[in-house]
Amino acid sequence: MFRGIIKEKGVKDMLKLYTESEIPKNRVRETVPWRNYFRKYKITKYLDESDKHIVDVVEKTSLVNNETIQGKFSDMPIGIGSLSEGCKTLLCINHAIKMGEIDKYIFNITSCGGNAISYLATEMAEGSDVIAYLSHGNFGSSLYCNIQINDGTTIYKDATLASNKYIDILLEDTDE
Amino acid sequence: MNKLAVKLDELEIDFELRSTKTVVQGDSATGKTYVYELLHSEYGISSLFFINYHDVEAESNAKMICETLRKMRNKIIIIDQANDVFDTCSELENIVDRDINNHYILMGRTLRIHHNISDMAELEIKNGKASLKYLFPLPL
Repeated sequence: MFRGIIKEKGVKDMLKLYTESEIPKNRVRETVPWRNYFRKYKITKYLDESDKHIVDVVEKTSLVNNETIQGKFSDMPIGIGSLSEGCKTLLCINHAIKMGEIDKYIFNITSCGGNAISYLATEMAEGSDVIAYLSHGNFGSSLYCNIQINDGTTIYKDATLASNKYIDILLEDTDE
Repeated sequence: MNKLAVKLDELEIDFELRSTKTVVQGDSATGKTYVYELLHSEYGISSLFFINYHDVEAESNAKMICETLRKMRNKIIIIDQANDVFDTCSELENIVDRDINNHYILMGRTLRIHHNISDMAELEIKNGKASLKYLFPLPL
């Protein structure tokens, strides 16, 4: 069953994904955001409610303060550096959204697992387009996202369909 | 089948390793880096070797690690953030791909390293114990 929709004028604010060979050249490429962007822009200085929500939902733990989280496995406060790379990547993207600079970047979201990509597609790519690339095809299982691949005409609502398409392209690229 | 079994104060780790390359993937925040760091900081046994992104950021360091791996035998080598590690150092990726003398636990997603689908697992941390949940059965 086809659950994609054909791009219409009114459809905007989506997660736009690109495979390696199609990555737009006119953007700053953040190859390891959880490390470089996270440190460069001192992400922890700017954490707000939207970041708290990311940590709650994706990491399934809570922020104690801007430098500390409640350890998920150890049940004690630990440094925020211990957040998963996927969660840190989302905090970086959220920072770029909050600073009004999301249009400048293309983020490598390979560190994000299906749960993080699902959050990105459904919660963060709503008020602004998020441009990203990755080397796997696990986008989670949301039915309520807007994902476009390589500027194609189809906008996928179903993350599973989007990931199937993305994997097909990755495999084609590998064969070439 | 090889095994990595160790009881730490915080966690008991019991990994069955089916072959020389085990790929541990899954959702974000399932504890992959947590287990890596626990073993790295507390498990002072020489049969383990650790690599993460910080280790290969500097080219000279990455080269040293490549040289070390070439000489290594019968170790369990744990690589965290394997995608970022291999994107940064493709030489290391080639060495790991060809190595049959060591066991690798690769925390990463859709790696270019040759491996069987029966070697793909997810980490499960439950009741103070970390184990690998393989996604596919072993071939008959």
